[in-house]
Amino acid sequence: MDIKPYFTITASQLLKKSAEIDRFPQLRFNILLSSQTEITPDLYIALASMPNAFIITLSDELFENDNDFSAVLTQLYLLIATGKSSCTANVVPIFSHTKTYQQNPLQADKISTYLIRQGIPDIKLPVFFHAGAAEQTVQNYSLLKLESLSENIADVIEDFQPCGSSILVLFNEEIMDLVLLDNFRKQFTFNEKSGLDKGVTELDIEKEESAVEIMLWKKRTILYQNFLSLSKEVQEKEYYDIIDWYDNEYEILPLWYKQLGHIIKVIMGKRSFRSLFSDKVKKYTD
Amino acid sequence: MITRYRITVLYHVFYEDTYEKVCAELEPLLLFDTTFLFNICQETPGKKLISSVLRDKFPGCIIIYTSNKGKDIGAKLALMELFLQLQIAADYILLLHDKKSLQALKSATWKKDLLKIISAKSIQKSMDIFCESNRYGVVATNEYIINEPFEEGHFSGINGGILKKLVQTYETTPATYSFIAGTMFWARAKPLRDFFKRYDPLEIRKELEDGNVLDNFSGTITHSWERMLSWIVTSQGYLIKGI
Repeated sequence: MDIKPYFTITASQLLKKSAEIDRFPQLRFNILLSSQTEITPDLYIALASMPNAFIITLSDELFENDNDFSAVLTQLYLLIATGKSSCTANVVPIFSHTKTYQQNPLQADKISTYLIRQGIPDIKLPVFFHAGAAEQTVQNYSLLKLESLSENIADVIEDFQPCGSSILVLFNEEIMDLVLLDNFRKQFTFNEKSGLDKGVTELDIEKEESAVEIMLWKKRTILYQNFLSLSKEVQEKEYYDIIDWYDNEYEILPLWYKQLGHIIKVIMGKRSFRSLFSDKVKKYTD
Repeated sequence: MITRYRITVLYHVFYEDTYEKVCAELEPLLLFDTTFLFNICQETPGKKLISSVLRDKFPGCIIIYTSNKGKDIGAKLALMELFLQLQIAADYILLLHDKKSLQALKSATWKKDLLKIISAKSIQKSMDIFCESNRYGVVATNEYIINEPFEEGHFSGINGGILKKLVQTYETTPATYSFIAGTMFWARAKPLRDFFKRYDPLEIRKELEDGNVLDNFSGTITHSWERMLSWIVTSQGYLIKGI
């Protein structure tokens, strides 16, 4: 199983840590948005400049009345667009505060339709119950809730049986130290006893990126092939457009007018006099 | 650095091999107080390299990655939304993209002509035009200022039907239907900002066609918005000036 831990962090915590985040490019973040006020210019700038892969999680609080839902959709798309696309998953988890909402997530369809129309197909919107079990799996994504970073990782992993292909890790306490978090990530990733020995390594990320690149080059080859056949079609049209233009502008004129035009060309020095009577002499001056 | 003019560049990169040219083209703008916003098409291979070259050349630039929807027009709409979200205080916006138009006979000349507006000399000239008269809202290469055919109260071109609906929906009624073919031009930021605060650019983008759509054979929403981007400015009383 391909294990991808995304560490949940609020937008404000991320901004506090943005100066040092560059030092930990292997950390993957799950950025939790609870209010529209958290979506600031600084957040866009931080996301666009950090090297880390990330996903955006929406809290159901965002769908409450004082937030403008259509504006949230616009901002969500733009936040996703700042991500390094080759290693960003097509997933927008939702953290629900009520069990009822989890069972009937009203906005999930609207979000999905909006993102599809913006060109993000196959988007997944797993809804997790925020106050629910410590381990939850929805649509192949697992949520693992932990008390703190100081929790014994070996014990955690010993008991953890992830069912999803990606894991969202949520700590009950604020993430204060990225060094600790990165150490946690390394243990989480490489712990062999636990059976999670297929965790994501730098090599895995490179492999994943390289697979995406190969796919993109294949698509690009097809695009250029299409351009070649399209060129023929378009240039053929351009050719006939010019012929039509010539017919309408010139060919339509009476013969005597066109003949007079050639005599004028001779008078103006644009055509040789002898060429009026013979096809074998040079017609136009260079 | 010349800080008298605050410029924001909205640049769409589609091709994998144009980034060095893009850097060279935009170099004269480094002399000005310029914010660079780039969009790289999600389908473009080598995005990591392209982004890193752009970041090195234009420190502080913001890059987004969007799907190939509405070609450069869709990308420019996404960049416009980013411009609004970042609350950038710009006086002038420069719309550009790495145009190749591989299907067209005159593609190389097109790009060269359209880019005349960002030579060092032309940048200053454009700024002078904006400063000398408040009447001018768009500055572009003279040869690419085209008149959309409009006869007896109707658009008669291939995009006519779509244009009729768009000008009604978005209340754009310019004095003339001139527009910049190729969508590379300077514009005052204010009319664009005012319009897009009213009409969400991403809502418009949603309606555009996917992929490399062309209007050689039938009208498209994308090519209609190519015209609308000029008319947004001119319908607010501004004129287009060719250089």
